[in-house]
Amino acid sequence: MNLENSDWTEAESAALGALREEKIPGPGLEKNVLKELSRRGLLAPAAAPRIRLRIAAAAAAAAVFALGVLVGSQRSGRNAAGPPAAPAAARYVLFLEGAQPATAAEEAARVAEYRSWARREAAAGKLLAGEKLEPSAHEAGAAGPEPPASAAVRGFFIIAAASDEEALATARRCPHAAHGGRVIVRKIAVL
Amino acid sequence: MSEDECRLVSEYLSRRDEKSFLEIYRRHTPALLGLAARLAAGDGSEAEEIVQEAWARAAGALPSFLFRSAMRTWLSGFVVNVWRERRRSGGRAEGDEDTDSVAAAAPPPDSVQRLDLARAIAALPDGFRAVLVLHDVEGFTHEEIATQLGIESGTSKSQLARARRALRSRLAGSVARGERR
Repeated sequence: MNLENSDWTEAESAALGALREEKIPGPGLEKNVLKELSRRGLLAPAAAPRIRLRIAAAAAAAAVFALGVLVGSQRSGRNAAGPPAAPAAARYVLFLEGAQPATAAEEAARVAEYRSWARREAAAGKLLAGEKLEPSAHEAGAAGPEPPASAAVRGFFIIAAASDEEALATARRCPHAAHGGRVIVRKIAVL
Repeated sequence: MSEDECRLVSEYLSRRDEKSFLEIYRRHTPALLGLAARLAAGDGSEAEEIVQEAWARAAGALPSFLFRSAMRTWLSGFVVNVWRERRRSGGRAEGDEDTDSVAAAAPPPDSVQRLDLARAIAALPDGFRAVLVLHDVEGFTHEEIATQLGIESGTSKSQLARARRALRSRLAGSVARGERR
C-alpha cells in the first residue's frame, strides 16, 4: 500500500462507493419533521384545521363508541363489551436465514434488490425496520459448546400485519426466499 | 432534477401543503439518512436528528433553490452543515467516536474490509471525513462539495487528497491493530 498516493485503485473506489446506502427512517421522523415545519410556519395553516378535524372526528367516534358501550351495558346488563374491535395491526419479525452464496457483485445487486423491496413495503406502511447482521455472534449467559443458534440469522425485518396470513404474504414477497434463503415469521408479543 | 420534482417543489412553495412536502421528503430521506449515519459514525438517533433539522432548514430555504443542482446534492448540503454545527457545538473531539458502536452499526457484507473501512472513515477528523464521504462514498463532484461546504473546489480537492492519505494510513496501521485515537 502506497501511503503517499492519494488516488484509489479501482477496487478501493468500488469498496468506498459500496458504503453508500439508504436507510429506512424510523416511524417518528416524519411526524417530527412535520411538527418542526409547522412550528416554523413552513406548512400552510390549513393543515392545522385538518388535524383538528381529525381529532374532532376521533373524539366523536370515541364518544359514539362510549355511548354504544353505555347503551350496550344498559341493554345487556353484565355483557358490556360492545362490538368486537377491528383487528389492530400487530408487529412481526421476519428472520432471514441462509441464502445461496454470492460473489461481491451479486451481493451488491441483492442488497439493492432488498432495499427496493423494503422501500415498496415501507411506502405501503407494512415495513417498520430492518437490518442486515454481521456474521459474527456472541452470547452472554449460559454459553454452550455449540455456536449460538441466532448465528444463522443474516438479517431481519420488522413488519406490521393484521394477521399471520398477511405477515406470511409479506414474507413471501421478500426477495430473500428467491435467493434460496429461509424467512422465519414470528409475531411480537404484546406485554 | 426531474420535471415531476420541479412540479412538487412548485406545488409545495405555492401551497405549503403537507402532501407535496411529504412526496419530496419520502423520495430523499432514505439517502439523506444514509449520509447522516455515515457522518455521525453510525449513530442512528443522531442521524435522524440531523435529518430532521436539515429538512426544516431546507423547507425554509426552498424558495432560494434555483434548480441549478440536483435536489439530492442540495439537500445533502444541509445534512453536512447541520452535522458540522452539531460537532462544533457538541464539544466532541474530532475522531473520538466509539469505534465498537460504529462497527455494530456498520452495514452489511460479510467482509472484514468493509468493516475496517467504515471504522477507519468514522475515526477520521471531521473535515477529512466530510470531504471523503461526500466525494468517495456519495459520489459528489468537487464543485458540488464546494457549494455544499461553502469552500473553493480547489480546497475540496486538496482536502480529499489529505483525507485519502489519512485513511490509507489508518487502514494500514492503527485500525488493523485495533488502536483508537
